[in-house]
Amino acid sequence: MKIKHDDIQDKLHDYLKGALSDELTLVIKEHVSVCNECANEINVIESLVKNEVPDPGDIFFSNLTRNVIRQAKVAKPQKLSLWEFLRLNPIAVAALCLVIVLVVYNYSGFISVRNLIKNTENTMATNKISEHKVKDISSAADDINYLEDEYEDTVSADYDDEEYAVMAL
Amino acid sequence: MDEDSKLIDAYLCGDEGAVESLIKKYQKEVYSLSYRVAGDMEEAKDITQKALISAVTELRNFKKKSSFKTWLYRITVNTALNHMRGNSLIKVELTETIQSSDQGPVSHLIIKERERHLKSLLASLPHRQRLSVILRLYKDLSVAETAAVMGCSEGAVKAHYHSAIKKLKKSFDGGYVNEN
Repeated sequence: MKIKHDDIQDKLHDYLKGALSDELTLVIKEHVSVCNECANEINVIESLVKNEVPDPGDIFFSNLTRNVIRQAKVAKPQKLSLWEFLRLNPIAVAALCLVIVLVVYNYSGFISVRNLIKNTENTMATNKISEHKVKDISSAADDINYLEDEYEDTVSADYDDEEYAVMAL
Repeated sequence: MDEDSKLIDAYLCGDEGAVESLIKKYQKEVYSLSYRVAGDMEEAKDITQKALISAVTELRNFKKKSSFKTWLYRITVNTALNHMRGNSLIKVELTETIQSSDQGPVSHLIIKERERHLKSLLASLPHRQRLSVILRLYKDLSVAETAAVMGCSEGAVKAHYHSAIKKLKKSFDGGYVNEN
């Protein structure tokens, strides 16, 4: 495996951490043994990494959380918009969807029931009108029939009388 | 969804214990980064507190485009740089350290002294070069993560890092001292 000097320099920190493959580690080890620049860089990195951070003490860390939460509240109260609340609560979203579906369903049901009632009322009204019309027509027909019958009776009665008169002569 | 995202969501829904867990998880990392940037324990304590307060306050603006750790490091670095800009005492302290460390040849110092010398040299580097070294070496971030924290390209991170190491190497060989 052949790697350029610049690429090896990029990997020197990982080499020191032992984070590279065995093959790459061997290649870099061989390169460092003959390259002063990379060997010096390794010395620098090792010396830098040895610099430790002083421990501020447990009291600092134990008080830190409380102080941060308290001061964060004072700095800016957390306000959650409805959209953010819904984004973060899938159960709330599901509940809201259910409510919307129920409302839509009820509303559409209400409309259809209202239409049904309206249609029924219209049908009933139409039927009533039709019935009235039929009734009027039939009563008029009855009247005509009655009058016709009465006329016929009268005529026949007249005729009978004349007939009787002739027969009597 | 990773553990950090769950804790963030829980906090945004009103669970204060979640943010407590989040702070406890990262407080040492933030302190260590603050110390590396500021170079002073008391300043690092102040920066840590300020950075964590900023992070908690701005948590609802975290878009989860990067990891929470990267986002938190970015806030810490910005807080540290702002803090140091507004505090001239730190600059004086660093300058004094550099001047005193430049007096003797590095080759005659013991290993601890070399480390101290390197530390002060690191502090004297331009802040972008210094940050690239701190994030790459001390925080073990990849080039891409370092670029995300510093808000620049990966190529720029590599350039800053190599420039910084080159300067430190010169000082390690005595070249940096001779040049100045």
